[in-house]
Amino acid sequence: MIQLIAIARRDFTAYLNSFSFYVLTAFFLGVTGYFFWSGLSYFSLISFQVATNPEAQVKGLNLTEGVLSPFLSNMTVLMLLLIPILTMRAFSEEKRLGTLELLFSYPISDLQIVIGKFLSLLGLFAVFVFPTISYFYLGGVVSAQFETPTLLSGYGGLFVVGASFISLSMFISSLTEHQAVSAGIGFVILLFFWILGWMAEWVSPALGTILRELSLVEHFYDLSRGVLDTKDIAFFVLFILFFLFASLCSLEVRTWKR
Amino acid sequence: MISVQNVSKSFGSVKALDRVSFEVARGEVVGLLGPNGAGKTTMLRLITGFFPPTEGKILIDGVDLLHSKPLLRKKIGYLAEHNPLYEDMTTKDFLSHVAVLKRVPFRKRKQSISAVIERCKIGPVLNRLIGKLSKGYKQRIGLAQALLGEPELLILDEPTSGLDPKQIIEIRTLIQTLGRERTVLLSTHILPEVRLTCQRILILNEARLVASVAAPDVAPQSPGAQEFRVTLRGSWDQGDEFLRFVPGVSEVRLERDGGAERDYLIVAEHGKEIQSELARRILFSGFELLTLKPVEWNLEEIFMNVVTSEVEQ
Repeated sequence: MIQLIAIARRDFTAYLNSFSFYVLTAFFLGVTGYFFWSGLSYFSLISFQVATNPEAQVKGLNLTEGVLSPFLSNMTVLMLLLIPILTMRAFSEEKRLGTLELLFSYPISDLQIVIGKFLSLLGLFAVFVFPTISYFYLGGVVSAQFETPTLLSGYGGLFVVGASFISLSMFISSLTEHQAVSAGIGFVILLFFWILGWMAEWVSPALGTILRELSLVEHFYDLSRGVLDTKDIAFFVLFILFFLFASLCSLEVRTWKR
Repeated sequence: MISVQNVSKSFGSVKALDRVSFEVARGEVVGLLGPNGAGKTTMLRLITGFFPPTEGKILIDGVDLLHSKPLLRKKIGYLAEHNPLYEDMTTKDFLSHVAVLKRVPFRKRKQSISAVIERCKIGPVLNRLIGKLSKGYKQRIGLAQALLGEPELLILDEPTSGLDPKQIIEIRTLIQTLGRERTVLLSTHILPEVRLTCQRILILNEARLVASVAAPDVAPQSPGAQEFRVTLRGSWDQGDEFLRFVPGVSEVRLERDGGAERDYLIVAEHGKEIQSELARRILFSGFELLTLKPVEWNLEEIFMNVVTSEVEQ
């Protein structure tokens, strides 16, 4: 256990000491800040119209549907791009430098390496994402009052989605020693899983159901509104476990090849 | 301690090792010598359990490292090829990190880290980033991480490659002292290195183990017939016949004729000592003796010699 924490801590501090992490965080916070501001302004504009004209349409006229849900969705689209960049170093860098071989010579298991790295990335993701909660409280100062439980479950959902992005990108990183390749392929595959549901419209109903069930966006929709459905959570947990296992296999494959 | 039994390793169609067998006893310092691409690194990686052999078996104290619990890897300290290190960490942080990974007990951790720091003389660079250090220091940090946890077996892949002569001597001295307490298996393509540090030399060539010899037997000079290179200056009116009359000389070859200065290769008869007599006669004949040195063999010639003598035996 202590070895696992040591691996997680090393990677975590290595990222925190790197310039690129701050560039990425600044970019993320800047863009999400803009998303939040534009979402809130649009919401207040609609509210104003409804107040002055009682016959205007009132769809989405609550803070969860009107601000939180679109904001979280926008944030996940941004994560689609940024998480592969955040994660690309995980194994690629160690492969390139040869330090992975050093790790393999130590009395630690491959599983400890995989979980340690996953935890470090989860920690970084938290550093990345949780400051954005402050927007809602800043929003509260202006006019809107957000419900804390809805907010927390929305962010819980976001965190689970982020964890599944990390798990998949980490697996891609374990396949190559080139960071750019890892980020590129990670992005394409995440995007594929994201939009899988769109294809459901064009294929047979049976296949369509399967595609919809595999699509990340379908499972995220309820979570983004603060609704925690066990089916969605189970999907993401399985997704995470599957790709962690794939990363483990990717490390262990060296011991299979004779 | 190490038992390599009929091991082969192929990468696709390339055979990196071909039916290699040897044993290393506890406390022995053994050098794995061979030209680049002979399969040294593959052999060491197999021993650390990095990947499995295509055929054969490798046992460390009777245990197969690859298919046993990772905990058993505590036995080995490994300095990998090109000495990979986390260059974004300071020396101190790196060593503490490795101490945890190598399961050094909490109470002993501080003490073990200071012990390897002292041993590898890396005290002055403890708080500096590894990436900013000289190659010599990096190499010592590589050795320090291998030594942490007091492994019984040290596996060092080219421990002196890329170092300057002073650093090479320092690292060699360090390996010599380490060899007094534990089993060491090191690889190199530099002959003097194994002669100075090892008790036994395994020679790998083109994926095969061609010889296993005690280090002192691999002399840098050709055994039997000794050869000397001499440079003389003087007047050559009387010719060079006097060289041939030195007792024990079997052959004299003119290698360079630079007017007054000439280089000769002089071959002695089997087992004859000729240096002192040769020098005396040269000076007696009125020549200046500019150089007189035994001819050192290069690695290929040693290979040939070792291989042929193995066949003769």
